[in-house]
Amino acid sequence: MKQYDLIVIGGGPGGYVAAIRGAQCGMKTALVERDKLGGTCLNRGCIPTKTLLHAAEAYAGCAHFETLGLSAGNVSYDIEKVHARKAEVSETLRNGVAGLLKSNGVDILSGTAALTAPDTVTVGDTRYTAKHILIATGSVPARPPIPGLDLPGVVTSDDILEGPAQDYRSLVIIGGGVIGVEMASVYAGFGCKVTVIEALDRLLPPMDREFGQSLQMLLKKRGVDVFCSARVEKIEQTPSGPCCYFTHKDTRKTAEAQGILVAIGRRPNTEGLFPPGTEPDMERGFIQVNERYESSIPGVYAVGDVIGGIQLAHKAEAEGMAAVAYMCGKAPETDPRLVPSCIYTSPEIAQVGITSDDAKQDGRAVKTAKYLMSGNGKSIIDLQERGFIKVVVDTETDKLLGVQMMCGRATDLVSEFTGAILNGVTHTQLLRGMRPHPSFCEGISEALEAVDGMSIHSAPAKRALPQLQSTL
Amino acid sequence: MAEQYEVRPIPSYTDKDTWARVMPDGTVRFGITDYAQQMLGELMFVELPEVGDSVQQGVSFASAESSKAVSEVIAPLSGDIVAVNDALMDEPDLANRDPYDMGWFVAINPSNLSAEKANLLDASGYKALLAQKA
Repeated sequence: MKQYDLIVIGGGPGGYVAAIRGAQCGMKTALVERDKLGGTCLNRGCIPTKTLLHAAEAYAGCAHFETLGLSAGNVSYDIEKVHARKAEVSETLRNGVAGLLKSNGVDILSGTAALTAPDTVTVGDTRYTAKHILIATGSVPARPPIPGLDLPGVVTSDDILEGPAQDYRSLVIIGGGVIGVEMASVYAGFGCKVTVIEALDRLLPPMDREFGQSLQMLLKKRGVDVFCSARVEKIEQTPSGPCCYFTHKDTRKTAEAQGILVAIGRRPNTEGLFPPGTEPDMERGFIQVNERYESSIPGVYAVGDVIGGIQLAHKAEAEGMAAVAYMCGKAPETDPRLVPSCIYTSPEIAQVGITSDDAKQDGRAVKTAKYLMSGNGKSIIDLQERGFIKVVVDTETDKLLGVQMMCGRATDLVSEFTGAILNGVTHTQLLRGMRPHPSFCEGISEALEAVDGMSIHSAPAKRALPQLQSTL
Repeated sequence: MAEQYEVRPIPSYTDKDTWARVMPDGTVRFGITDYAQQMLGELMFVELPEVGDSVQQGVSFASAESSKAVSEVIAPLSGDIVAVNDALMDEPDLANRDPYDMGWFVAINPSNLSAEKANLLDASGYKALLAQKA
């Protein structure tokens, strides 16, 4: 029976990164994957979505050619080729992951893993023992108890991103979270008639209110119908395709389309992993872990979507590396607890740390400032829509607590803040280094200056007087 | 010079260019005046309070963002928010196109209407104020 120092179950971002880190630390490592390496991220999540978004944006960008003094006739798209390109990118990255695992000496085992003993992983008929086991089995799309979910034409992100290419001319999206709004952006970009139905009172409910409101405005401007505070009753089949029945503000409505995408969330995946009665402590299907990512079974760790928290690839990666660090008796370098959220709409959206609403709820004294990117040269050159950068700062210490941005390259810009917040940097310290012109990141300097009312490139805000002046 | 700014007879006005109108159901709607929307320019975004929040006469309750500036919007009366204008959130320039009607910001249940009304201007009072500004 083969003996390892570390067996990782799941070849997605949490798993393969941990396996490579384990090998780098001198552990004899194996990784078990039952489907494709790269997991959800590479095959039916982040990567294919962003590849489609890139194509959709390039296609929609042709509408601005005239403004730039350009012209192009007969711009079109071939949905099969768009999807072929998406598959090519996924395959390139998958091969990259396989190559990295092999070159680091990690054994790749194909099949479904079962934890047949606290130190034993069984794959098919073969048993392997390990000093440490890391579970990174991820999540799968949640299917809500809506009547009609099994009708043809009703799909999840798995079907859209991994299934055959569908050139939807109309699409209903149930769920206005990250996946829903990104998919809405893809299909609206290709000229599809999109309807988004969200149960809570705004798009992107867990994030800063201004994102949801701004995005709703933008999507509506681009021809997307958005219904928030809307509850789906059922889906029924009609001759032209599935039809969604929902209630919006006490009014019954219907939305018919060629397809209905259900994007209401993802639930943890532990299928086939634990023989009945041997599960570690779980809550609502999520594996419970302590601060070292160890489950209630000693020596068995878990990271990523399967343990809950925000479901993002980089969070899984950081947790995977942290778990391996703890296994080796070291402290993790990257802190997995502060996770930036990024959304690849246009403009991009990114957030890390707390919002001013969070601070208000916690009764925490903060200063906030917002910089409008209408004064930012690069944004104007790039034909960016209305954008902003908001910073939240502790009133007493001036330390940065959070940032919310909706602007060009927000998904890159946000990273100025994650480390700064963890390192206790104040807003004036982050101003110390100048930022180049013209750039999107100049907006960060302006937002930081605005904390003390000193932003250069914005109109002075009209201040409100606390008392109403008496009438004439 | 004040003729270029529309001032409607029914609402009451503040000297901070907001109006208040009592609706048939007893709630009071707030909005910005024609002068305000002209000064601001095309609105790009409005930040509104939520239903249930309370507002105070003379204190900012919302912000209106144009490409020129972000302006705080001053509450003409005190009370609790019972409705916000969703259409305005989707299309902020409604306040430019129809500031006194479709471009309303919020509706409140007034908490001290009779006393606070004395602090407001009527249409002619507001017109006189505009004549001084112009």
